[in-house]
Amino acid sequence: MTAVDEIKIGGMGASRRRVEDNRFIRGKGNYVDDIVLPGMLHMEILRSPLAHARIKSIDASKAWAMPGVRLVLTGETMAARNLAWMPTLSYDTQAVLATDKVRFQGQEVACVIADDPYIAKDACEAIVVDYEPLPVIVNPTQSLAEGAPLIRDDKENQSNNVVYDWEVGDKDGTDRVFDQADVISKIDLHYPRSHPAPIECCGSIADFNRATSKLTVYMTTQAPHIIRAAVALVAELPEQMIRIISPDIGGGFGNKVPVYPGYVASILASILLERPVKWIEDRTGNLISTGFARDIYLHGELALRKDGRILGVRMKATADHGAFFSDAQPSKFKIGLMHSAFACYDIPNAHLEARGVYTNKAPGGVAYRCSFRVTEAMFFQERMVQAAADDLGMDQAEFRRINFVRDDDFPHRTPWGFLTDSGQYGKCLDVGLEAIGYEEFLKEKEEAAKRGRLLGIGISTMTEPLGAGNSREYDILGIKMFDSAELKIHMTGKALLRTGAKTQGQGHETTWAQIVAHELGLPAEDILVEEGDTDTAPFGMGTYASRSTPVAGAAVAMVSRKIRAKARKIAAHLLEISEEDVEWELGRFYVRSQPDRGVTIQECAMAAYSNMPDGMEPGLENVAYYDPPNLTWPFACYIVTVEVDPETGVWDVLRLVAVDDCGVRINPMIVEGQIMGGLTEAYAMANMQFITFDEHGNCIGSNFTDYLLPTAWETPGIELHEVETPCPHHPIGAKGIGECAAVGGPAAFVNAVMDALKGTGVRNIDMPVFPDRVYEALQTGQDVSGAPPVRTDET
Amino acid sequence: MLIKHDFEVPVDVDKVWEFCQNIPQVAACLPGASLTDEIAPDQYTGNVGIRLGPVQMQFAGQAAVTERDHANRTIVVDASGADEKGRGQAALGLTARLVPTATGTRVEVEQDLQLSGAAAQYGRGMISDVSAVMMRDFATNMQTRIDAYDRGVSPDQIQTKSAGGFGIAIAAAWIALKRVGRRFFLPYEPNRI
Repeated sequence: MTAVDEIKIGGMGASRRRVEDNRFIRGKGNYVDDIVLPGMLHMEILRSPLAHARIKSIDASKAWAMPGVRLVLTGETMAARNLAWMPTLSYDTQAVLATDKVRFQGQEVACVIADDPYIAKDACEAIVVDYEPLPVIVNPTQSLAEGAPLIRDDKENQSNNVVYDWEVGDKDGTDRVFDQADVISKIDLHYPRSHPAPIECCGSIADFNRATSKLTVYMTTQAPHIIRAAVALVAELPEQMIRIISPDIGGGFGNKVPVYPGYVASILASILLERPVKWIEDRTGNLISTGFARDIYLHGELALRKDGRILGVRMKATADHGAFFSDAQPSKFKIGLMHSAFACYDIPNAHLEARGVYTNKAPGGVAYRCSFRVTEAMFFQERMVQAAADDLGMDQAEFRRINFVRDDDFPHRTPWGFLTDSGQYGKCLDVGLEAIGYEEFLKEKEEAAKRGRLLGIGISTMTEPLGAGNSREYDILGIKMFDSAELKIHMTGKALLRTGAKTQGQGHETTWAQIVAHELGLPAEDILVEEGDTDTAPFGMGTYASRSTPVAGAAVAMVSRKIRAKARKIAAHLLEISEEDVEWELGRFYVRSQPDRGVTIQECAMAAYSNMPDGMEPGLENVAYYDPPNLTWPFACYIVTVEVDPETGVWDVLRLVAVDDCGVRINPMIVEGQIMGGLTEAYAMANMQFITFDEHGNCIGSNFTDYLLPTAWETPGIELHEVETPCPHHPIGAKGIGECAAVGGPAAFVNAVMDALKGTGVRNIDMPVFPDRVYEALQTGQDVSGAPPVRTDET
Repeated sequence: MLIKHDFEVPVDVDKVWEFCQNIPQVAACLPGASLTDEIAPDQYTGNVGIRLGPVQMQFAGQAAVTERDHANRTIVVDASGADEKGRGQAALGLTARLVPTATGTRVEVEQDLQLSGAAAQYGRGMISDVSAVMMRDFATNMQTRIDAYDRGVSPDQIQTKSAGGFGIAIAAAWIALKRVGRRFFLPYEPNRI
């Protein structure tokens, strides 16, 4: 008898089909809106049509009088219960229902709870709100202007619209290298507001049972345990009486991390009415009021030596947070991990200044498929790098190569304090250049230029910090960023695994089983994975920031090892030898001196319940909590070639090459799916996705006619390549991968278009790089900014 | 948002100016609009119904003539209103100037339109195109009414078009298409609507 074949049992490295897809493709998923409870009522939210206005009065009498209406909640009702405002994850406050004034278009003003959603919607329209319009602020320049109206007049000691000023790095040292620089490359950039727009909008069903005092909430959350803790702390309900269930989730992308007023209102309504209350958000509600992403401005400078070495970096970032500072990010750093920029380059001096401002726009800056401002950091980094290479007249690939952290230079401390631990940056770049045919393309580009054709090549190389914590530096409201896994091996050798993470499309039900298979040799199909119910799952911090595999995935490996350690004792007992003489191969313990004499892991499981050694606790179950020693640092190189039509400004992607090093791959098929998904979103951000505002604060991009999502039709083909540098501290050598392509991708597309426009005097076109912006840049020879308010012809 | 249009009616400028003094008559020319009450001299309450793609909205509000310049034949009207279902608000500053031409009168209309809520969210790309169609209908209606007025027909007997529906959608789409087409043949102007 020999070890089981790991690929055959669906272990590590197997491109195992996703088990969850079986129910999704049959329409048998169980989303919040699929759940129907007896006696359930429906809630609808009335939103503000104005971006900034004082509420003079709210008359809900007509709504109350409508048949089927059970309850109308306004700011006044909430204030009477001290619930008009709630704390945000960033230590600010956010209105649940507006009391004094509305601060962005789409803000929640009132809720109606009725027998069906149609009555609730009609009743919302019957509520008369008398608004007194106030001047509107839609960008940081307006926000910081002398005499600008104060948005947060609710806050004591708030005399302007500044949320924070924050800095990191060595200012004096950086100033000194800038004084010594041969060339200083400067660029101004805006990463526009975007929205994750998951296919399923947000929603909840709150079910308070007066008889048992138990509150059960089904909700679209990426982090159910954090919600339970928040409800316990904010609403002062006993934590054992709160059960948060996150059923199937139709995509999160960061949008489902924050706590939204709809959740809070539905919980209060259920407590008041003692009946289940369902709230399901519509698409416009999702786009105009829930967590947006990005919206950050940068002035960036690089100090350069003539030979191409970067001596220092200066970044001055201004973040537009909207009406409330409710970023969903767990670090102690005000601007998230913006200072992870340039981590893949060996730069001795750096300084970053960041300022956050309030505007009359939706709050809730979320990390849309990234780790808290990492997307902006890497976009700015790679746009600055390309501009610097151009300023030096150097080849952009060579410029990157000479500034990379070398393979023998790890662990490497970045000037802003991060510790990178592994990577083969030069090799990844080489694989990418080889795949795209770099030299040949440059020749082709030159030939094409002679005939008036505009070809361009854009490169984006980056390493990013994924998988918060460690718990020393990362917490949410003081709760440390560890994660957990609980594994129960039944006597028949089948198993149940639960983790504190929550899948929203990442495929945990498939890959977690593969990690257990890798550690124990149980076939992956014998392992059921469950997540998202706080009454059953061990406490964990949820899924975002690509932290599932780095943290919860590690916990799965660690709990499997605990199980194996106990099984080894049982094996020694069954084999009647001492534990030291027991050897392990996948799926089986054997006698060192007699390899054909052994017991399988399944036989050990049966013995754990039927024939355990004297003095041993029965059962084969355990739980592990994992606090990673560091973030994981995957590396990626994306290369895009484009052709720009000078007569229309339309640009087409010719080829798109991706080289990803995410360490050891658990399920290569799922990894590739993540990369393709990320690049699709990167392309969308560069090309079409656009949430902006006019001068009155109207949200432009409130529906899928204006906010464009890419389909298979416009998404370019993707060529995937792989380099593997195992993570030195992760139990199975894996690194995060969910976000790399969405983080690193956008700069590659923009760099490609800007490369095609090289020589025209145009240095930057803000995303989305719409054809009319390219056309305008070509006609005027000037940069095109995309900051709101939007021009009237730009829709 | 500033929207400018002009149109010609083959009617003498003095006659058009005289017609313009009768605000309820002028309002009746605007598709979908109706005045409900005159609350003071030159101050009215009224409704405007409009359909922007999927959204049908009914604005109720007030309009006031804030300036009447007989010498330059210019009239300024300020109007504001809110959708009856709370989905948006609109404020409009309208300036109309009459210019005599060889064949009649050119009416130059400048609209400074501020929208909020659903009208602004859904309709943004269509507003100026829809507005152009409405102005075209407004011109036709105005001509019909001036003719009728001349003949002594009672205004109540005059049928004029209402706003919205398929006609406006088709006409607005055609204008949008033409705008795209123009880009290929005319010199580039970033702010051309």
